[in-house]
Amino acid sequence: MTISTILRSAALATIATLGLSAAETVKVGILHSLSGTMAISETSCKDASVMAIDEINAAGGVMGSKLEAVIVDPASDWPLFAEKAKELLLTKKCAAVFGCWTSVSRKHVLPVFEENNGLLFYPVQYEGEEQSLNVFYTAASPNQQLVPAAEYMMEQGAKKFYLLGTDYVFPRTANKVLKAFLKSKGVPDANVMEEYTPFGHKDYQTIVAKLKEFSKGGGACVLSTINGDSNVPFYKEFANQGLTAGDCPIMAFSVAEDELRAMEIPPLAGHLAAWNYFQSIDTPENKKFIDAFKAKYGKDRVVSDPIEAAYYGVYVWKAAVEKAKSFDVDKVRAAVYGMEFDAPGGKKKMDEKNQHTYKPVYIGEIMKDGQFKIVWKSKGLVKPDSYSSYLWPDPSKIPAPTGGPKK
Amino acid sequence: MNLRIISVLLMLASALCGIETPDAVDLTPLSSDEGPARAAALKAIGASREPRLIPFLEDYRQNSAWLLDGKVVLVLDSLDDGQGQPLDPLTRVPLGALVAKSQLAEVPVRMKERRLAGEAIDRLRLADPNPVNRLNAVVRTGDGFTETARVMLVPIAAADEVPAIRRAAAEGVAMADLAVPASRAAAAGALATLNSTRSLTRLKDVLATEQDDATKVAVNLAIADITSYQSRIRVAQTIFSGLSAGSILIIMALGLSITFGLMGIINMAHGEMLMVGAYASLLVSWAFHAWLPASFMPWYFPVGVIAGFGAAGVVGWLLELTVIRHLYGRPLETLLATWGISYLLIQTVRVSFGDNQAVTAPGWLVGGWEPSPDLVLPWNRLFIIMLTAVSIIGVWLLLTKTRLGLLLRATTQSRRTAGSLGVDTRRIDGLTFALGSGLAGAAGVALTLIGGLKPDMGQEFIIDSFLTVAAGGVGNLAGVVWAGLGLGIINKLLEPFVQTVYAKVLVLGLVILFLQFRPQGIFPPRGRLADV
Repeated sequence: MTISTILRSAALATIATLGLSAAETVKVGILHSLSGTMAISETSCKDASVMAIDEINAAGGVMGSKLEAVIVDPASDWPLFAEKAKELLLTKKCAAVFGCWTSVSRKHVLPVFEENNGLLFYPVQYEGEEQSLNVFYTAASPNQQLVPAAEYMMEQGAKKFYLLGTDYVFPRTANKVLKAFLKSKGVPDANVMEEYTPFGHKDYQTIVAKLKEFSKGGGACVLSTINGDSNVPFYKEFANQGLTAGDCPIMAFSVAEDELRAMEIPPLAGHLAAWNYFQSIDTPENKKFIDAFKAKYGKDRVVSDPIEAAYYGVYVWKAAVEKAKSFDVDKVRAAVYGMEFDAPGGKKKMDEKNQHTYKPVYIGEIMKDGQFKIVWKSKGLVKPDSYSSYLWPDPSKIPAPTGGPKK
Repeated sequence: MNLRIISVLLMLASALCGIETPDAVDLTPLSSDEGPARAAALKAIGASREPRLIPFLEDYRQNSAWLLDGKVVLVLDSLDDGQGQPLDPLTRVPLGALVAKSQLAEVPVRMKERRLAGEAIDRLRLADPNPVNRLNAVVRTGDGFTETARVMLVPIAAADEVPAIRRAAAEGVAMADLAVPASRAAAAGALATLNSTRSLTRLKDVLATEQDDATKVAVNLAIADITSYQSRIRVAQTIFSGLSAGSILIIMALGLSITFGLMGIINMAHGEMLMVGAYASLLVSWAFHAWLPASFMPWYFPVGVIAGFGAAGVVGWLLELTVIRHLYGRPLETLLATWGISYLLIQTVRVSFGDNQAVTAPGWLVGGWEPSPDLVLPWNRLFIIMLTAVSIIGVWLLLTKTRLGLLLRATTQSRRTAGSLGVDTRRIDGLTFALGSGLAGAAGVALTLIGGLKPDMGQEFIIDSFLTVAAGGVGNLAGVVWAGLGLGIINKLLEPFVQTVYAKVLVLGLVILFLQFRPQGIFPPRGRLADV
């Protein structure tokens, strides 16, 4: 062996090792608001995804490669979401992105993911009416949250429904679905009221006064799609003007254990929320998840439905990559369909065709300690509708999925 | 048989004396396989007046009741792990050793039992020592309109110690009386006297089926009376909302009118002075929690307001000393510099405290004052109105009656003349800015009663503050007051008719229109100040 051969082999070996280490980390993006009005909710989703990534790395990574979490802060600024998504997909070349909360943020990033054939795992309940091949919706569509909740309220004797929401696409579309559902159940139009407030709105005096009149005579309830920190002044005003959960229960669709952490609980106790997961689900798997989350982030932290979805979304992607034996978006997408997996709240399944997830439905009552007492549970997993059957009675008219592999 | 007669007599006697002695109830039939036996047991529980059965029934509905050795016990632990601790259903005292699921027999709870348990809970709540629970139960029972409801409510209408509960019970009795044609007219009259808006739907339903003309007249009269009462309440509530919204605008803008109005400084960090005050009161509440016994906690709030005033005042004084002083007379630079400082302050607080902090309103500010049925004036808003009034009076007294106020007005009117008369204008500048910022700080503490506490909470108020000052007339205290009240009241008057978002749009449109005709605001500045 001459010196030059040794040197050449050493050089080759070094280059090979360098090349190998460069391929050993795979970047995944985390696109959640860490400041601004949605920070109260989205920071924890980032924490959940990061915990999943750390666990996966500790167990050896995905197909031998470690994951590197690229965390950006779009600051509750919807156009900034699109810019940050571009950065994650094009500059940082992330194999997948876990992010978004509000539908307006998702609508802003959708063109970016579709144009660049990226993959977004979206962990928050939303209004449906969308099916993009570049998004996997790991949380509830309306028939898995809104409709069962409205049905539950009707069974409990509610006859009048006040649909109150923040003014953007999710509450507006959600209320369209709810109105169509209530109409189909024979609720007269006079018994359904609809109102919207802007993000960050604080003064609910007039609305609560209207609610007081609306709820006279009993049988009234609020179906609330208020998002972000406007929930705090709303529940406060509600309680301060003398209304209780007995007079007019509020069924919230965007208030979970995490939001309750930053609110005064006493005015909220007795009100309801509908989700596909609650921290108070009593199983060993859930306990393990909760303990791990608290150990990592502090014992005052709590977990909620979007946190569970942000967590298992990473594992679903990992399993799909391993099944497809590739990080390529199109192969991973095909591998996700129909996948069954274990989530902290129980076994779930990805839908075979429509990008959504089979999930169970729970209704919970807010307790004084900020946890939910589960008062109703669906029998098994509910199949997701991407387009609500109440707005699209003729399935042949449903729009085709958007996005997908580059043609 | 004798025992039953005696117990009935005892019940009657105790009812007459107003003493509620709970009956002993046998819970064992709850485990029976026969539906009627379970239903009868639940009815008996409802009639027992034993308040400890309320939490028992709630756990019963959660399937935590079991049969152990022929007695009904509670096991609250999840039995999936293997064992649980049986508890006495009334006292919740542990009954002996842990048991396994195999030793327990099921207590069947179906939908019918859940419903009956709910009714039993309502009946038990009618005897609940807690007035809030009792009032809720009275209202729910009254909404049933049944004869049994009436029977339960009559003694409460007569003898309950809380006037609001007596009134709600009387309402319930009258609503049940509407079902009987003979007593309908009298019942309608009673409801009108009580101003019972709760009964309007019922009165209208009854009217549809009533045949007798005289009764129809009585019911119509009642409906008219109650509807007009409802309108009066609506008007009063709207005026109060407007006053409250206006007072919030005023208290936010008062500090700004001093720094902007009197000194001509555009302080974009004004919202952050609000935020600094709010966080200062958070620190006060933590200090009280850590160092003082719990009985002192309600006092943290007034101390918090003063601390907020002080903290924001100090921050404002420092801001003036380090930054504003050097940019005097250059409004664009001041604007930019203070904008930067505002971000600095927001991020410093964000890094120190995190984004979400829960603030608990002190107990004495929760709930509202109900001067008339259905008109609820929340205590937190009354407090803010009071604080605004105190601030306005305080500032007015300061400006007109004190030496400092005199020096301040002199410096504002003509800095050179004041300086040549021996006034230390630099010191006055610092104190004025501190005063304006301190007022913002006090406002910030008060505003945590309405909304939450976040580092960027000031950003939401800055626009409205400038709007109020601009509309009111720069440099004029009365202008801020009138502009604030006007904007708040107009906004609240519009909201019932158009939606919240459009009401705000209309108000902003009105301000723009107003400023076209009167660009200097309601009270235009006069003299040399007009040149600023």
